[in-house]
Amino acid sequence: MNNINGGSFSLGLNNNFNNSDPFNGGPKPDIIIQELDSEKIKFILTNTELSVANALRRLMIAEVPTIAIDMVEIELNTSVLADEFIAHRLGLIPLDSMEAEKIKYTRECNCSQYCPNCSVELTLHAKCVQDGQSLEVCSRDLQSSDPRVSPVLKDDNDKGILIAKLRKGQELKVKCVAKKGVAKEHAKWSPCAAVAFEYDPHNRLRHTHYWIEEDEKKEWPPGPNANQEPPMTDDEPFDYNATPNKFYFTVE
Amino acid sequence: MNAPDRFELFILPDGVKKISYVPDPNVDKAATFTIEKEDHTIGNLIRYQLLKENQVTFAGYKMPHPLEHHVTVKVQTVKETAPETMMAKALNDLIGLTGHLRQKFVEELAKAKAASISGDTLLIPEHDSLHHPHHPQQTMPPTLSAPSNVGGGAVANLQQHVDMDF
Repeated sequence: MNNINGGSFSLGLNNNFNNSDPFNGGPKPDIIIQELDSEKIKFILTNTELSVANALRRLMIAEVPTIAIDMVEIELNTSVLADEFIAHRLGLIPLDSMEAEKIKYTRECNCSQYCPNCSVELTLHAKCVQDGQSLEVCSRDLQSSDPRVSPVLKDDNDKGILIAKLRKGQELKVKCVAKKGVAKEHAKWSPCAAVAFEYDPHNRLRHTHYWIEEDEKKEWPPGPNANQEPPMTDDEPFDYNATPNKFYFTVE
Repeated sequence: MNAPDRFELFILPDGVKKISYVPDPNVDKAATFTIEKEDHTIGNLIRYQLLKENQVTFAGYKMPHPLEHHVTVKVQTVKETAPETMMAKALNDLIGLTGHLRQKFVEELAKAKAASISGDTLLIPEHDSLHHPHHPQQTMPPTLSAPSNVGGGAVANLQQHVDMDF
């Protein structure tokens, strides 16, 4: 392995480190969930480093696979909107991706183009027949070939996301193929809207410098996580060796 | 037109090693590792992990170019060990760490769900549940073998304005 010309590097399964303690005997990282509902979670990650927190944030944004419409066949489009415009709007519609783990990536599937193992077909057919009133085509009108994957809707009355508006005589007929992907390829596959994390709410580590007009305390009131850590006292010495180890996450 | 494929960002081409290293020609116990198809997510994580080790005297990473999808990690160690040894240890430790975090999160999630069921807020659906909690199909029995259920509400809704000629 150690030749001067360099070479390959492998993470051997039978090396000496398999039983090593990744935490060097220090406290183990911990997660505490503070808030949880169907579209938001707040948790605190402790006893770990900034790099771990940031890696977690980046992973949630860009590398968690979801399902989104990737190919659109437009059979008929007599609406005022261009084909590619509608295709783009369809791509951005969030689909229920709870089953994403059970669907293959198309590139890893054996089929020639796409198949039920690696894709879900959604069809949409709408035509406006009413006089003087435009028809709103919404994401609820998409009919999925797989009951596990369908557009996300709030409740029974939710019509979903507006795709296009049709006037009398205009018709839209499309076939969409939804595939699994990650947001590194296109942001439409991102599973979350916003991921934010904060650390050191009292700026004890001096990682940020506040712009002050007159009075810092007045102009920078304590943030939402400030009650989690003791406030700074005025004569507190600066610990230049301190590192952040408590991270407050909010994921939507 | 000549834009590179976006999957080049994360798909390792056939025959390419995920990670390779070149020892430094001038400095003893120093090497440059190249990790293909990765970015700051993993680069910074590895750098931090390496810096935790007392035997590592230098660790730094860079993404040489934003259009070339690899990161390089430079490592120098004390003479008792070797960069590749410390890299292997760092990667092993990271695998342990992520495993631990995953387990912690799953435990916490179960607790939070239990709490929210007894309380009245909440809820992320069970992972293997069929439908989104707010999904209109939620009230239907979760049967896979009922294609007629597909988008139940949507069908009715659509029929108002489809299949009608004027």
